[in-house]
Amino acid sequence: MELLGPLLGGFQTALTPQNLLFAFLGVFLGTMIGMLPGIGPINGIAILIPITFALDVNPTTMMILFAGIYYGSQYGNSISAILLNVPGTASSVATTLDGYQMAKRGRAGPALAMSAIASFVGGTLSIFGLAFLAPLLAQWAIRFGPAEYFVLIIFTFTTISALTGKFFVKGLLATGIGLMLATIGLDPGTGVPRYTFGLLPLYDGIDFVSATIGLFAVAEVFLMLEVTRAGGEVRTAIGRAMISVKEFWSSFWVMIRSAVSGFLVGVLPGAGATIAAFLAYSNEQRWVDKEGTFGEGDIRGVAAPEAANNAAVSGALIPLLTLGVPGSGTTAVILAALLALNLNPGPLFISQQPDLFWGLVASMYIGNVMLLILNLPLVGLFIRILLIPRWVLVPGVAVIGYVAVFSVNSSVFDLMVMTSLGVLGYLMRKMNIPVAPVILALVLGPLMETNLRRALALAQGSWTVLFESPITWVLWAMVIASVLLPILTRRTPVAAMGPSAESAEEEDAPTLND
Amino acid sequence: MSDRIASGILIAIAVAFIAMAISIQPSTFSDPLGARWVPILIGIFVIGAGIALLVQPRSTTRWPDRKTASRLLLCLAGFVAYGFALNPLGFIVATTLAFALFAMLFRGTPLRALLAGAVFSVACYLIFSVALDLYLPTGRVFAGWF
Repeated sequence: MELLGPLLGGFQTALTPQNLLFAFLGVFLGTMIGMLPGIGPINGIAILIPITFALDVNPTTMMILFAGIYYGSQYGNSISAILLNVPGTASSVATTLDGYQMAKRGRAGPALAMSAIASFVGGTLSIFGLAFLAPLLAQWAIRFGPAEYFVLIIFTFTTISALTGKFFVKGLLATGIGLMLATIGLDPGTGVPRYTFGLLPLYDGIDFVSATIGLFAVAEVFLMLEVTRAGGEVRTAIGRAMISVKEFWSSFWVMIRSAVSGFLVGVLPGAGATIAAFLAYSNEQRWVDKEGTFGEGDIRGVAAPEAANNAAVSGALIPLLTLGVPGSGTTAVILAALLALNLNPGPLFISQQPDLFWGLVASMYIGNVMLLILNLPLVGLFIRILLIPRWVLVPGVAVIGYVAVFSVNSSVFDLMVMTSLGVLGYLMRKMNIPVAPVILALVLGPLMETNLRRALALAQGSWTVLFESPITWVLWAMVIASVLLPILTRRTPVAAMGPSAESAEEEDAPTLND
Repeated sequence: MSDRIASGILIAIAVAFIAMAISIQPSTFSDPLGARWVPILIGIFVIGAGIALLVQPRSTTRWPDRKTASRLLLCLAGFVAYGFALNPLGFIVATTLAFALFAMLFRGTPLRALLAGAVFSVACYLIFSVALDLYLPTGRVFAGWF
């Protein structure tokens, strides 16, 4: 398959001044967002959506910005994991295990350097995977009709319910809550209002920006109010952020293996960066940790999860761009932004929008180089952000979230929806109910219903259409497997990872390791 | 116990949800499924998952004590009041007050909280309204001033 031609074209798109600027903005903000506990890529992107719409940038530039935030946050989240023992986002929980131990032993510099290098290796290797696999999957997915899409969306719901959080049934409930919220508004098929209670602002449904900021940012403010302890002291004296050649080679194959496994896990719906990082960590522990030094400040224990969680991001973009069916909360928010611009990702997306896809791929190479520079020589500057006191940081995030929601419709009603969902998100998080499935169901719910009704309309109302093609059989088998596995094993992967994974409830939830 | 109460509430909501779905008017379009069936199926799904949690609660939740709970309620009241103050008071004044309240809840001293709120709200106004051209209200009480 011809890759070089389109990739060179992509670099032409990515190297325009505007796209370079937005790639830089994305990775810079992404590093900050990833680093700060309490704000992760999902609410970071949700806050920026109204701003990018107002700036009227083209969709390619918007995707470059959002992807930059997504993978940039996977660089930044390890900074607070290493220095504070507080993961910036859930996907760096595994990094705290050895990273913080290294920092405690005065080796914060090498830990930060290893994390940046492993992130770079994971990031750049997985872009090859994205560039190679996405067009192939798109060609295959052309055979998907409405029935196949309906079953695929069901599969996404069951996997995210099974893989986020500790209890499968709570994941299912979260999905159900999201689906109920998704039905509010005008029915997509016939235009009949449903669950609007006569309130005009509800006719358009629950706005996903208000929902995301409410469920993640506002809920996080409430949760942080409860936590009095805010991790360890910030170590600003990190020494030189560098590793020796020997340390690099000792981790070389660790990074390669973790990048490959992280990428593949990322492609799966529901799994995402957190599971990728834990899987890589436990695999490497089994493979290379002969002396039993993992958990005591082994540099390879930093390399494995950091390579994997960055690779998972590129993987997660594949189902989003080639099927239009995202597998995580963050990619669901990106899909909602694309849909709002009347772009419909799907099997024809890459061939219809080659500039967008190849420009995005090329910008990810450029962005990873920028990140390596930001996170190696300049990491000392970023660390100062961790010194911002919480009484400034938390109100600041709350206010910026308010501005973002208000600017969508200039509506106080939206702000109240956001606040109510903030309360809902708080209650759910307190009760170990994952929040990411709510966003995924909110965005995918209308697509699920539309595809189901289209499939039934084409088949004159016969339900057997959902079981007729071989693709649907495979997908149903996958649905059954994803439902049976957590029931039979009585535990979800997150629960199986032990107590250290407890705060890893969902991929994108900002967490405090309290 | 929290799990049981939550699943009970969710089941009740789902029952109401189905009842409302049944009363959705059938449309004149020839659509085999219509607007009511997907909500009914979603409601049944939630009832099923709710019953599974009701009969076998999974975890216990430690709720905040009375003092923390009152701080949480104050924070919630702050969010609501901020939303309703935005149009009458204008972005800068409302944001300064809201920021100061949140900052004090996170143990900032009153004077520093108010000062940081004022600086932050003016900076936000300049960035979002002046530079990025997003609409932020100037405030009804200042209507005749400018």
